Order: sequence, then C-alpha cells, then structure tokens
Amino acid sequence: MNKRRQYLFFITPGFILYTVFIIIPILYVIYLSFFEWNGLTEMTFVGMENFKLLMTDNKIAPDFWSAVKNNLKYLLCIWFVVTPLQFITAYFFYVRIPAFKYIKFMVFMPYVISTTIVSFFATIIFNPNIGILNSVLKALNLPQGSWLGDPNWTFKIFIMIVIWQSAGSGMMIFYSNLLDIPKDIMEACSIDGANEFQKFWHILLPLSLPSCASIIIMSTIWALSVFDLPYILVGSTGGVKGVLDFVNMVFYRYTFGSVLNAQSNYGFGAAISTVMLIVIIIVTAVQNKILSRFEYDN
Amino acid sequence: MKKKAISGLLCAALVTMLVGCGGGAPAANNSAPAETETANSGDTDTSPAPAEEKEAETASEASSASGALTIWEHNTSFEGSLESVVEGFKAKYPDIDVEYEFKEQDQYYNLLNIAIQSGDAPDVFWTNGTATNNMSELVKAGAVLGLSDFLDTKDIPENCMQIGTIDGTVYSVPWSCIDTRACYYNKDIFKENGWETPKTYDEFVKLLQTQKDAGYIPISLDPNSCWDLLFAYEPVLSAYDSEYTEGLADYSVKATDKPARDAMNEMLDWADKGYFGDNYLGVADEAAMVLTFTSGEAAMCLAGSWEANTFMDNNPNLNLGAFQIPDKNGKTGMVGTNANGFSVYSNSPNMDAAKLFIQYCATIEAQQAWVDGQGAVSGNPNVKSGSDIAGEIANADTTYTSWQSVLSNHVKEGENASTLFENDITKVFSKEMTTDEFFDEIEAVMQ
Repeated sequence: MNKRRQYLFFITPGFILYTVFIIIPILYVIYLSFFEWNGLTEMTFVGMENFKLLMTDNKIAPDFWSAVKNNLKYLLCIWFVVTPLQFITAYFFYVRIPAFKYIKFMVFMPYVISTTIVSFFATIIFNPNIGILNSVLKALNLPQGSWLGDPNWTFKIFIMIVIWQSAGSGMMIFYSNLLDIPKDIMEACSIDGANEFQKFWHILLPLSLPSCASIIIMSTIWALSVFDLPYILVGSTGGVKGVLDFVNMVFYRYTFGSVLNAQSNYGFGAAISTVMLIVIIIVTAVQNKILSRFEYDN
Repeated sequence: MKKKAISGLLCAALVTMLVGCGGGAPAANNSAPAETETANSGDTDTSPAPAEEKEAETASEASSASGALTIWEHNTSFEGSLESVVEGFKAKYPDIDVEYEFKEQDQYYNLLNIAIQSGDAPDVFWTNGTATNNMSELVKAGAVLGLSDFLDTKDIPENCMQIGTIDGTVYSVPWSCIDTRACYYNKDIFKENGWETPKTYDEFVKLLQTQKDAGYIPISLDPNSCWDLLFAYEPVLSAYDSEYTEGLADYSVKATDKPARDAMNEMLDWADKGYFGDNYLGVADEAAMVLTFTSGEAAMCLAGSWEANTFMDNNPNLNLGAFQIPDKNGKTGMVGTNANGFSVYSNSPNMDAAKLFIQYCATIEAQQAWVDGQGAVSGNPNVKSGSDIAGEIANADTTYTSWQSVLSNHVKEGENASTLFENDITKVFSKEMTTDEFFDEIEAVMQ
C-alpha cells in the first residue's frame, strides 16, 4: 500500500501534465471535428459532414490525399536516404578521415541556421532569373532550369536542402553512439583479423541500431509534421502541381485560410487532424513492428 | 517503453498541428496598458479653420487618450506612407505609442483572422474594404467597429468612401488614391536599345519579341501569387479588349466572357514564347519578381501602382518609367479601384487612441501624406498626386473597373468567386488547369 502511494507520488505530476497538455487537446480536436466553427461565431454541430467533405469534395479530397502522399514520400526519403547518409557521415568521422573536425563542424553548422535563412539561401541559388545556379549554367552555356518551379526538380531540391540543413543532428547522435562502443570490442576484432568492412558491418552497424531507432522515431514525427521549409520555399499552396504540398499546409490553408468558403474553419481543420492521427497510428504500427527487431534484450 | 515514447511524441506532433499553427500567429503588441495621463498640448489648435464640433469632441477625447496602438498593414510597399502618417499622428498625439507591422500579403487575412479569434487583434488594421468580402465577414463577426457615429469624412469624396461603407455604415477610412496597375519599364534599357513606349497593342506585343531577341526578359512576372498575376492580367485584359473591359463597370458583360478567356490565353502564349523568362515558373514570390526587374534582367514589369516605391527602394538608381498598355486603336485605360485604408478592432483595449488615429487618417494632412508616400495617383481633388511616376501612370484616356472587383460584386448569394480565383489562377499558369476550366468554375458561381 505504502509502495503504491510512492508510485502515485512520482506518476501524478507527469500524468496530470500529460493529460492536460496532450490527451485533452487531442480529445478536444476529435470533438471539434464534428462541428463547424470559425472561432468567432457559435459552433454548429454538423456530424460527419467535415469528414465527408474531406473525403469526397472534388477539390479538397485530391488536395488532401496528394498531401498525404507527399508526406509519406518524404518519410521514405528520410528513412532510406537521409538516415543512411547520416550514419555513413558519422562513420567517416568515427574512422577519423582527414580534417574530420573541420568537416564535422561544417556539416553540423547548417543545423543551427534558421529555416527562413536556409530558404533565403535556396532562393539566391535556385531563382531562375537572378539565382547563382542559372548564372553559372548560363556562363557555361548549359541549359538552365526553373528549379523550384519545375515539378521534376522541386522535391529533389527540397530533399537536398533537408539533407544539408538537418543531417547534422542525426549524424551527431550516430557519432556519439559509435564513440560509446567499447574500445576493447574493436581491439578484439582487430586481433581476430577483421578488416574495416567487417568491423563496420558486423560490429559498428548492429551496435548503432538503438540510436538508429531513436533517429527514425524523431524523423518520422518531423516528416509527418513538416511545414516551415516547404512553406517558405514555395508558398502555402505547395508550389507548381502541389509537389511540396504537405498535410500541415493543407491543414493551414483550410483551417486558418480563406480557402474553404472564404473563412476559417476550425472544425474542418480538426477533421484533417483526426484523419491524420489515423494515418500516424498506421505508420507508427508499421514502424514499431520494424523497430522492435532493433531492440536488445537486457 | 519505446511504444509509449513513440505514442507520446506522435501525439505531441498532432497537437502541434492544430495548436502550433494557431499559436504561430503573430500577437499584436498591446502591452502598454494605457496609463499615461495627457495627450498632446496644442492638439486642439492644430486643426485650423472650420473647427467643427466633432473635431472638438475628438480633440478633447485626445486629452485623456494615451496608450499603445498596434497597426497591421498587408504589404511592405506601404511602409513609406504609413511611416509618414504615423509621424503626422505622433506630432499631434505624442503620448500615444504607435507600432506597426507588415504581414505577408498572401497570408494577411489568415493572420488577421487568427489574431481576432485569439482576442489579440491589432487595434487598427487594413482590409480591402468592399473590394473583397473579407471586411464584410469581419463586420458580420462583430470584429470591426462602425465609424459613422464619430468619424468626420468631409475631406474624402463620396465615391472614395464607398469602398469603406457597408449598408450605410462606414467601417474603414479609405485613402484618396487610386490603386491602379501599370506597365513599369526601365528607361535606361529602353534608351540604350532605342525602344519607344508602344502606341498600340500590336506595337506592345511586337516590343515583347524585340526585347526577347535583345536578350532581356520582356516582363518580370511572379506566377506563384494570385495577386501578382491579377495585377498583370487586368491591364493586359483592358488593352486586349477595351470595349469588353468598359462593360465590366455596369456588368453588361460577364467576367467570364470570351475576351476575358482570350486575354488569359494570350498571356499563356506569351509565357510559352518566353516573354516572362524561359523559366519563369521558378520565380517563387513577389520579391523575386521585383528583383528581376530592378536588377535590369527584365525590361518591364506589370504591377500595382503601389510598387513604384518598392522598385525605387530596391534600386535607387533605377530610371523608372510607367505607361498604360494601349488598345489596338491606341486608347489607354487605367484599371483602378479606390484604395481602402484602416478599420478599428471592435474590442480594442486602446479604443480612444484607435479612434483618434482613424479620425486623423480622414484628414487632408494624412491623406496627402499617404498619397505622397505611395507616389500614388490621387483620387481626390484636394489631394495632389504623389510623384512624377504617378503622373505617368495616370496618363490614360479612361478608367476601367477591376475585373477582380466584379467577382466580388456580382457573385451569387452564398458563393465566393474570389476564393476560386485566389486558389486557381496560379494553376492556370502552371498548366494544372486550362483557361476554360478556370473560367467555367467561376462562371458557375457568378450571377
């Protein structure tokens, strides 16, 4: 009994904070999704109307599902392009390539630059009329592009900017994890005659999987809630053909913008969030299934 | 454990989606809680001759009014004007602190709505008046103060007041200038190449090809903003078919008739010919459009009259000229709307100061300061046009009604054509929609 009270003492503050700031807002969002409400006037109960509109309206539904698709595409890029790159970069620092301290600093530096400035750099480089890239290509007599206005390039440029800006954080986590691997294990490998590839493949990679799991969890959240960078790069409509239109941008347009009947609609925005919650749960379930294989038995 | 962590983090992400976006709205700074005692000395005798009762009342209110005012504008190109007006106001009422903020044009109403919903709206804010339905929505929501009871508008002509009046009640103080569109050009580039400003529409089209052949981008255009596209489309439409455009005034023609479609197709044809630059779809925003023109990459730019200052701020050495594109017979016209100004937030905690400011905006002094700051075309016989460039812009045979204002004024009850235009005109230029699809969807909601 006494023991149970002690548990309660430790659990209660966290439980209250978590409930007030996480659980109740989520329940409120779900509740709100059944209403029409512009935040200024009376709330009107509309039942499933917001969901119906989201799923069946011939202008809104394609926008939404295209945005969900873009989020998932971005997520896959994070999992299969950005994360491996982060690990390989961390490995290079671990094996101390020449000038690794300087390179490490340079790789990490963009992480501390604000997204707005990163986007400004992107404009300076990729603007078709006054950007550096087209100027260089013109000087070399090579064909120029519209870059962020070209649907074939927009997503690729976006991923390149993401790698440049945010690869540093995951790389540092991987690097710290690699440094934590006991030296005697690596020495034993060397004595047993393992070459660099064998050390990488059989020792370093498996022992980095726990940090890999953490990075993937965080990256998944960022990928599903991305907003600032694409918004600044191409505006709230997601650019030409909506290539960079993500769910949060759709949410923003329809909830706070004038896109839906020329006024804000919190209820409809809540419906988007609720559907997205279901998508997140599905992605999380798949992710958990995969990540559970990375866990060690203690 | 890990699952708990995952679900916790994912929940946080979800909440961020709703709460975070709302919280991201810039809060109006109303921090100073109105504590200072008196306003300015001399404010009663600054207003000269016809010291009417209303003015006297307002002036006496000023003696007790103080605090901090926050003003929102929708575009940095109005900074010079607003600065001058605020300066004039501060000279009269030095005890009132005034802060002003400029919001991103495309997101202005979103931000304003969020601020109003959160009860943290600016005391004074711009809207487009009756030119769009945003002000009337805010009036319906009770967020805009009716000004008729105290506002003296004797210095502003009746026709200018219409844009700030709904059902006989004044909700905003308009500015005595005409917001028009113009074809700006780089005089130095024209001189170097021996080009003249065109006298007919055909000459204008020929000039585009000549400029292209000479290695210039003929027209700097931002295809990613509905507004920048509109300010280019309307002057092209008026020149392409001036008779049709004249008919928009009394709605004897529809906004979606063939000439409107043909003019847009004409612009798309220009895009294909590279008249906006070979890769113009990558011009991400208005700033990039302005830079392309002011850096000398483009010979011309179709834009609003208020952009003249932005061009000159951007490149003070720019030898800027402006003309209206002539029609096939050489007739020139100015597509213009009266410019709207500020409204007062109905729940402003600094109501006295806000009322004083809005009354000051209605004076000739403030009206002239605004027009001068804009270098704008005056729409008031008592206010002089603001600059030489304004004279060039206003050098037109007639004035046309804005195509976009027809969308607002002749839409079916309960529908919104402006929203369709705002959402989809960029898709026409990126070829996600055809011109006919765009006009057909607008036609379906028009009277």
